[in-house]
Amino acid sequence: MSEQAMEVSNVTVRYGRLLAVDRVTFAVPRGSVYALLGRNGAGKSSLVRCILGQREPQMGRVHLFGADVWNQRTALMQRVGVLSEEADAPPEMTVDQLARFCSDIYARWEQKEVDDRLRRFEIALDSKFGSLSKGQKKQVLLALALAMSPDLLVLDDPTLGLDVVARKSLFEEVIAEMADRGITVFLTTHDLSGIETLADRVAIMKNGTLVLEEDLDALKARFRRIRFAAQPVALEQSALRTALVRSWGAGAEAIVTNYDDVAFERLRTTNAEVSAMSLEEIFIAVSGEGARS
Amino acid sequence: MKNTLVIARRELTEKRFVFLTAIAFAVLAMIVPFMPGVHASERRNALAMASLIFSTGFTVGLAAILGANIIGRELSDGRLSFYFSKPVSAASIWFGKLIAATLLIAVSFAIIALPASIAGIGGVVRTWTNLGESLPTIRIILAAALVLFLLGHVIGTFARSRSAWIVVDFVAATLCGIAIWLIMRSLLQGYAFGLTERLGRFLAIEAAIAIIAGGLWQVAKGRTDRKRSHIELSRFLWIALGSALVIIAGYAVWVESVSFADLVPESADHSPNGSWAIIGGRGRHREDYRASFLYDLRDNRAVRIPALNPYAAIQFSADERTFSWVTRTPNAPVGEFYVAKVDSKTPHAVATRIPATGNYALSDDGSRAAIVSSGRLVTIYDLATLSSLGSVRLAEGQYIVPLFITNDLMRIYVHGNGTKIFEYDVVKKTLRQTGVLPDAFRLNHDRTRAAAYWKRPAIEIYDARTGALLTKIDRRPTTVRFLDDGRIAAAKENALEIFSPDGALLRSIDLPKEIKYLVNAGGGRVVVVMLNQGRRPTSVLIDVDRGVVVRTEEGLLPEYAARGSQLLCQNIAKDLIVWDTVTGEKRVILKRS
Repeated sequence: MSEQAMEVSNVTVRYGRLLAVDRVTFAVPRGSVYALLGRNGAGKSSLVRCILGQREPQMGRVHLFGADVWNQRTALMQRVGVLSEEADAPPEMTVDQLARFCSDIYARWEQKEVDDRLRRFEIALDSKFGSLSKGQKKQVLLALALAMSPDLLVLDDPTLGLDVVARKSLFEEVIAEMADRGITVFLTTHDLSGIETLADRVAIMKNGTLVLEEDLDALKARFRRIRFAAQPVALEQSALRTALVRSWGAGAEAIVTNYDDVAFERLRTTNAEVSAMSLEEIFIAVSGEGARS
Repeated sequence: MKNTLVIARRELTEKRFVFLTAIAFAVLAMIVPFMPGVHASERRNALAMASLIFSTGFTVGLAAILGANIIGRELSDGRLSFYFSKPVSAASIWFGKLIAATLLIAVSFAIIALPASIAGIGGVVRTWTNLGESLPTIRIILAAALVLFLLGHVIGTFARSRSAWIVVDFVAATLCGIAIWLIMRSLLQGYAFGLTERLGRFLAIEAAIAIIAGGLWQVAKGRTDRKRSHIELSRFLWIALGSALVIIAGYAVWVESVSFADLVPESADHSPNGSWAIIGGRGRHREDYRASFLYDLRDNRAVRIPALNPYAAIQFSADERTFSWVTRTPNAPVGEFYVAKVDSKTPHAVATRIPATGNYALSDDGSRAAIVSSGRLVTIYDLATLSSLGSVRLAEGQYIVPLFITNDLMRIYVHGNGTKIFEYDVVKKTLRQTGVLPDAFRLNHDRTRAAAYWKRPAIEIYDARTGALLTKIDRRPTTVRFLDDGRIAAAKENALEIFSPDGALLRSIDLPKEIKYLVNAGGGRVVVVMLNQGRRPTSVLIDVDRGVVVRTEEGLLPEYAARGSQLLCQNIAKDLIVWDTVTGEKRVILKRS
């Protein structure tokens, strides 16, 4: 049995001349919460389609639980709950009809879980899917994705269109609960603050390339913002690598990607201030304009 | 299978409004008979007709719409991922949708056609269409719906992908169309209507299967990718159709490559002096594909010529250097006039673009043709230049037979109530009536005399130009032949009688069986053909000068229009045989089996 819930190996996706995903490789360990971050157009959705076996990459392979997803999608989807970026359920169907359809399809199905969740979300079973708000649609699809007791939950930008309460509920109740139950969660999101306390591992995509991929704790430990009162001439000669250096008042601000106290001490500067960075700040530093990726 | 049915049920649930629309149309059909202007006695017909029209229109329209949307729309709307994120196979998705669409079409048709079937659709179909009973009509409607559904799916997928690959589709469709046209045309030129229809059906079924299987392939390989879905369907479809066309083309090439030995003979047309024959028939193991050969009876040379059907009205010129025919079928009585030279190594058929019925004449030297076209118009053409030398329209007549007396003088027999004889001077462009003849007659070799005997009290010999009665022979024969020297051979029951040109009895020969017909073998010889009770033929060669039986051939049946010393005959097995009446040699030139 594979130790990894998901293995993405050298995946490349092209749309004509446009390279959407460029030789991306990573693995998601079982029971972890893995966040794939990236700006719009970074290639996340294309990669998610490959991960779900909906699109065959031009190069590379995706394995879920050790099985090739392109060739064994049907069997694998019994174990994968999906919340897609676009609410793709037929708009004419009622929520109840959708639930019954899914219960016929999946080997495992907890109708009570669906009913409870929808009650919590205050969504009536006889509502037509097409008449729901964007956030409600996501809540319905999430309820359906969880009712089949997935081993892997794939959430493609799950908070898009959700209000603050629903977003909080999604992260704190749903994903945390899933993680506690040992379910692997793979998500792409813009809502970095929500996942900061949940994600075990983070990857950042930029222009189709994976520019960063590591455990969140390690990532946060090595990224620091250093603000210098004067121009940091010594920084260029130090062992510290920078993702970004920009003017800050009369001095400069640098984002260091391999911070350690010893190296900082060697700068022998007194006019510098070191601060930790949030995931959002790291993301902006890595994938924003002017970043050295 | 379970997932297929689940998806089918879901699709039906989603589109259940279609059934409601069908019910509305059925109700509308029931209202039509009570609309103003519909007579009480016509209500039953009006109900059936309205129901039939609505069901046909609704079904084919629905089929086209469902076909265009079955995959293409969900792909372009990004909704196919709903299925693909579930544990359902591509086959379940495709066939589930297909089952739902089929049920929607069939049930909707049944709902709207219900009033028609209650009102008695059979009578209405017979009255209003040429399709016969109701079952074939329903089959045609559902077949049309299937075609529209499948085409809708293909076009919907191609158009909605907005991919440049559509250029490839256009080129491939054009190439397939050209290939189908070339294959079908070449087979139809061999009058292989049955074979063409069967190949057409095979291709249609193959295309339908290719589209259905291609749809599965498209869903399995393209999944949620609109462009890839298009490319996969396109690739599958054109490879499947292309492969089928290659196989059909190869088969058609084989069918068309009929050699003389492959011919199953069905017809043989002799030249006036019996040197040549045009032998036609079906190609062995080639279903109804026909081929024709110009056969030289002197040296057994056979040259392939364009396929001629039994309605080709083949004629040879008197000098046996030119032959001609008309390409026509019973359904299209006017065809094109073709001419070819006999004495070239490979007789090249010249398409004259001259429309012609089967009635025409070649001049003795083959340089001119008088062709009867519709409207009783007789036109004389110079065959070297294909230019008209003159034409004349006959005022009346049901059947017109032109003859060349010389190259510039035509005799035209106009059959109607009796036969009027006209002469047309090609140079002076003058037409004048020269006489009248009975309805049916047989001309002698040089077209100077005519013998009328059918339904006549006696054999009447007329001047073929003026219609003047020359002599009467007090006999009522079953058949009469002029011999080359003007003598007249007449047969009735077992007796063959020979008369002089002026009608004097020269000789009477009794034969053992009833005579069916006579063949002029030349040189004062006649072949008498008799059939016994089992239809087994006996041919007896008689020297009329001496009044003796030269030889008797059991089981040999000369072609009715055979002439000359070498006669084309059939034996019991229907093999084609050349019988040399001088030497008695019989040469099998084509075996039937």
